[in-house]
This record gives sequence, C-alpha cells and structure tokens, in this order.
Amino acid sequence: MLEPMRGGPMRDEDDLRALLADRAAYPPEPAGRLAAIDRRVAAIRRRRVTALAGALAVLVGAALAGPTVLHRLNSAPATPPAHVIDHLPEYTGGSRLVARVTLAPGQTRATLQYTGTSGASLFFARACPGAGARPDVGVGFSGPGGSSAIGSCQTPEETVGPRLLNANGFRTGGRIQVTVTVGASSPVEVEAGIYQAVPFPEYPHQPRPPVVTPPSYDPGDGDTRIDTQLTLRPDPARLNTTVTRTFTVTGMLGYVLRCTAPGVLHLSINGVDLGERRCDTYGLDPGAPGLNSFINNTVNGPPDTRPITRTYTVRLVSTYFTDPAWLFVAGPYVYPR
Amino acid sequence: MVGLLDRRAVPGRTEYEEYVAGRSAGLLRTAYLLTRDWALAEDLLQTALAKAWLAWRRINGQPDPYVRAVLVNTYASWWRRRWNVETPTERLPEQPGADQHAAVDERIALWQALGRLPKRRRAVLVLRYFDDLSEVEVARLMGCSVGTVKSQASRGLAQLRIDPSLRPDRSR
Repeated sequence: MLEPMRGGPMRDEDDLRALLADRAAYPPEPAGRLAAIDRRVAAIRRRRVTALAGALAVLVGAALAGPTVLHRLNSAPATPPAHVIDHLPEYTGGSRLVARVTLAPGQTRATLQYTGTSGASLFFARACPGAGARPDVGVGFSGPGGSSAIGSCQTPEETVGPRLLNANGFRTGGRIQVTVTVGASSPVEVEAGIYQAVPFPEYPHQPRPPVVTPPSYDPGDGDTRIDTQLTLRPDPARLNTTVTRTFTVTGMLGYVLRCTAPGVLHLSINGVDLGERRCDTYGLDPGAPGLNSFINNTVNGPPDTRPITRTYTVRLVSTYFTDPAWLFVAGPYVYPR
Repeated sequence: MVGLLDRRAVPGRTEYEEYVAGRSAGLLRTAYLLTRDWALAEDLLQTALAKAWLAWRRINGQPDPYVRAVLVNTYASWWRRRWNVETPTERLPEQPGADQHAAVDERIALWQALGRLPKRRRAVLVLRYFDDLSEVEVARLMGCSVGTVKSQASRGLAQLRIDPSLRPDRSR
C-alpha cells in the first residue's frame, strides 16, 4: 500500500494519483468472468433479435391498422404523425425535434440555438448517414452557468435533464447554445438535433400491435442480477393505480422497472421520489437501462461492501396504461458471476 | 466449459481470451474508480468486454482504446438522467452508516469528494491520473476536444481543492 496521504487537504496532483492507486490496489478476482461475459454476449444478441422482432411486429400492426391510424391516448396534438425529417425522426423517445443542424463532410463545427422552456429536458441526437462510417461526434452546451461537454464518440445520443440544466444556470426562457463538433476526418454528412420532452398525452404513440407481450425478468440474463424478493405486476382490472409494498433487504438494493406498452410509472422508495419510467413504444426499449442500484451499505476502506439490513417501502403509481404491461422487481443486488 | 472450448474455434477467440486474462485486473481498477464499488465495477467491466467481443473483428490488435471508451461511456449512460427512463440513483438521500475512519483519514475525505464530482469530470481525472493517458488520448476516448479535457481536469482538481470536507479548518 502506498504511504498514507499527508494530513491536510489535497495539495497537488500527486495526492490524487496516490489516492487513486491506493483505492484500486486490491481488485477482487471473481471466478468465471469469461463465462459471465459469454452470457452477456448471448443476452445482447437475444435483445437485438427481440428488438428487431418488435419493430417488425409494429410495422405489421401499422399495416393492418391502415396508414391513417395513429394511436392517441388523449386529445390529438396539432403535430402530424411521426415522420423522419431527413435522418432524424421528428418524434423519438417521448420527445420532439425542435432544432437541428447538418454538417457537411469535412465540416468540423456547428452551433444550434435553443431557448429553454419550463421543465426542459434536452436530448441531443446524432445521425451519421453513411453505412459503416463512425465519425467522432461531440456535443457541448453553454449557457449562463458556463459550459459542459457531454459528447462521446460511441453513443448516438446524449441527454441532459432538468437537474443538470439548472445546475448550469439555465432557467425558463434562457438561451442555450449547443455546439456540435465532428472529427476532421469524417467523410460523411453528420446531423445533430435537439429534442424536447413532449407531455405523454400529446405524444404520437405507435399503433398498438396485435399482441403485446408483458415484460419479463430473468436474473441470469446478462445485465441484471437481482435476487428477486419483490415482484409487482399490474392488476388487469386496475391498470392505473397506486401500489405500496414494504420489504427488507440485506446488502445493496437493486430494482428493475420495465414496461412494454405506452404508459408512465412513478416510483418512490422510503418516501424518496425516484422519478418516472416512461414508455412510449411497444416492446422493450433496448436503449433504456433496466437496472438501477443504490448502495446504502458503503463503508470506507477495503472492502467497500459491508451488508446491512434495511426495510424499504416501495410506492409505485401507474398512469396512462391500456395494457397490463409493466413489471417491478426488487431485491438484493447479486455480485456478477 | 464446453461452450467456452467450442468458442475457441471462433476466429480471434484465443486472442480475446488472452486479452481478458491479461487486462481485466487493470480495467477493473479503472471501472472501480469510476463506480466506487467493486460489484458495479465488475458489472461494468463485463459489459465492456462483452461489447468488445461483439466488435472484436474490428478492434482486434488494439482493443484497449475501444474497451476503455465503452467503459467510460457505459458508466456515464448508466447514471445518466433521462426523462423517459427511471431516475438513476446511487443511494437514497439518507444518512449513511457511521464511518469510523472518516475523521482520521484525509484520503477518505478526498475519496468522498471525488465521488461528488460530475461523472464525466471524474472520468477525466481517473483516465488522466490513474491510467496516465495523455490529454489527447482522453479526448479521443471521450469524444471531446483536448481543450475540454484540460478544462474538465482543471475544474475537477479545483473542485477537489475547495471541497468543504477537505478544507484545513473543517471541523473534525
């Protein structure tokens, strides 16, 4: 182990280097890592197949329903049915395209202006036409509170929620400047857009497919490992209701909240509001993380996990559902093996 | 094990397994410094390595930058708040259990302060000061400009220096 840090605050970068080296000095060596990875690979492939099958089912459903039918759960919005503006869809992920910019091949920088509205959440999407091309595309935004870079080469989208916007000084009516940068070597046209969340009743949802499959949870399925202790599913007679349950867990609590039909789930645990899980499509959204874990057993110094037992009260409110297609699972998080 | 043996016949499988065996410990350390939890770090590492295998034909020969990029970006996306997914929560905003060591170890205060940094800023510090990547390498990996890496590192260090828990006159 490295020498203990000198007393007092962090003085220089060496203090940070020493801390990082010290904290990461003793990694555990779990057995069967390769086998676990192989299971994840299989799960990823299964999800891809499922997503493709879901997309096909939606297309079939839309064809059967006719081209003019667009499922709306409330009064029809003034906007037309979802369609694609060039390469970025007008509607996606519960949000609507409000600004976009196109960068020609070789163009490395462009800016977008956006005026924030109440409760704005921004969703920066990048479309990179040209099969096989993977240019580096970054997104940054600046406003009253300074600037933040949220870009990455790997992801096609970035999201900034109200909390981060507020932390950067944005207020209703404030102007946000979004800067898009593209690697100089990009041989293809790149588009970037800003999306803003649309209230659920106003969002143009897909037509309902003939069959809606309820979500499932498989503890051995790749990316989620919870020793299931509590499972909640909707009562078909009361799809939109409030469910409250209390249970006890030892160790880190993990939960999965999924839906496979349009609707909104609001979750709180021990009175703490944990926000919404909103579904705008039929079938599982492969991009949506299914697992959220929070750690309530942190102690300092290795090992970092000292399980303690706690009682949790879960409150789940479901709204807008027209199918019994949501699932909540909670229990102790299981160390990956 | 039979499945694993069968997979050795797949082109590149041997190299991939050697890579996993040789680099996992180092990558796990990086993942731990990002997540601050060994279990989540293992989860993150396995996710990155699984994606690496799916892309192995493309990245074989130089997989490290790809795996690191997946590691950092998956980590960021796990905790990214989206209005249409559930709220990522590392812990309930309640008082944690009593920490017997915090009052006597400055490293713990610094470790906790590091945990309060924004995720991507923390990632920049980990990649710069643990993995010893250059600013150019970090920028390429995170998909941002070198200037952004410099400013994020500078702000991260400044934030640590002024963290209330690290002030010399903090109450003990």
